[in-house]
Amino acid sequence: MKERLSLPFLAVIALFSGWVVLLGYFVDLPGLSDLRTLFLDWAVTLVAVAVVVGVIHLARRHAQRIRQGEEGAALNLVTLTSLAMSILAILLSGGLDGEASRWLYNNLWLPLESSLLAVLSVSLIYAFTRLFTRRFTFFGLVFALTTLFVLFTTLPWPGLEALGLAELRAWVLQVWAAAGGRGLLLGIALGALTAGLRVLLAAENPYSG
Amino acid sequence: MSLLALGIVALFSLLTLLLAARARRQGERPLRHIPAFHRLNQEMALSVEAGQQVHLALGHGGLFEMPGAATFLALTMLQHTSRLAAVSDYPPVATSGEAVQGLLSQEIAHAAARLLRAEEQFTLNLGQINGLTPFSYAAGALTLVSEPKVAVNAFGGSFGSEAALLSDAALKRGNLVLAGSENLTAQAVFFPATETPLLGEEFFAAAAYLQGGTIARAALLAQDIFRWALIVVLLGGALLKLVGVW
Repeated sequence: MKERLSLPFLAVIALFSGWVVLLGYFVDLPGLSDLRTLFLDWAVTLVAVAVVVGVIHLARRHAQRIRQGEEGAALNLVTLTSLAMSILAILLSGGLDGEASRWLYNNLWLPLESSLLAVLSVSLIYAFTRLFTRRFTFFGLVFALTTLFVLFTTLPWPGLEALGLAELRAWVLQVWAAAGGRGLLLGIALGALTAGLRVLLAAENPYSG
Repeated sequence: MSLLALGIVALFSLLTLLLAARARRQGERPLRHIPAFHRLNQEMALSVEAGQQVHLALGHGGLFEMPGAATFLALTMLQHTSRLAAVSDYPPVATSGEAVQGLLSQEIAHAAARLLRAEEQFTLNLGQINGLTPFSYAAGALTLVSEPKVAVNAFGGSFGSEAALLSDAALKRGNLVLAGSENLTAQAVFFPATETPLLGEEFFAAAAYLQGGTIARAALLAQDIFRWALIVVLLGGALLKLVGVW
């Protein structure tokens, strides 16, 4: 009951902060701009605290899986050990620029992310082939042909310039692809504006459950 | 310039409120059919009946700038999913690649459990934070996407190219029902991956389609009116430039 009573109060704080930040972005009034900066500073601090909470939550979840002996618990142990190693390395080597931190970054983090990128390329090719087997539509065909054409003409084939394919590729990318991309981005920007305004008009409150 | 932008935001808000008032007086117009939202509701109902779980991947957008809008939409989708499927044997689970988003998803799952008086079903694991970088998030969420008890996988939020790893795993299970993002790379990845991709601003229509509500539907109509106005301005500008007037 206590929690329910506090909800409207929390919603008012959230809406007030949202309107101050929005108006402060457009109108340069001394008091309003200061208040906006203050609210944004608080938000950044809260986000930083949330990251710490997030890391604790992540560690707790992995520890729980190890305790319960769930499938793949060995991987959870590797993750927890890596987390402990990273924290120790950063603390002992005097921050993110320390030698041990850099070593971990260059020799563990970068190769791991690179290997995921390699897996990603396979996944993308696999998804592309699915286009032909699952949902073959006119727009699917346009998507597939454009992708194949751009990939094909990216390679340094001999005679590409002479055939005019390099120019055609530039035309496809700079005119059609850029126009399509901008059209989608305009729609997305309008959608984002709508989503933000619905929250600021209190029509939705996804922040309070 | 900033006053012009403020004017556009004010005009948009006013138009939304006017359209909402008109809808209250004259009744709401039907929305055009978007298969992804229809399929999500359908599959969710089936998964509740079968006592299986719905997984909603919220991406790694956070609360700032453009990805922030996608995050709010993703949380609205989670609110809808949690309220509809919270009484299932396995309540819906959300995965996040950003801490604040993860904490909010836990709060939403908790609120849904409170609302349906099923608090004993709530655990913090219903709102998981699986990693704090795009690839670590994808790697962490992959295990859940592939779990046998998960009958429905839906991806909504801010993703990048790493979405291909998640959609690939969901496709192998044959249960990817919705995939939407504000990010163009993710949209390109989702296009061949799902039968019902959400393109452009379609993802932002989620609130009107899933939760309804007069303001959400009026905002969608205002968005359409603004889009047509933008098209007219762009074509008009191009035409004026062509004839050398501007």
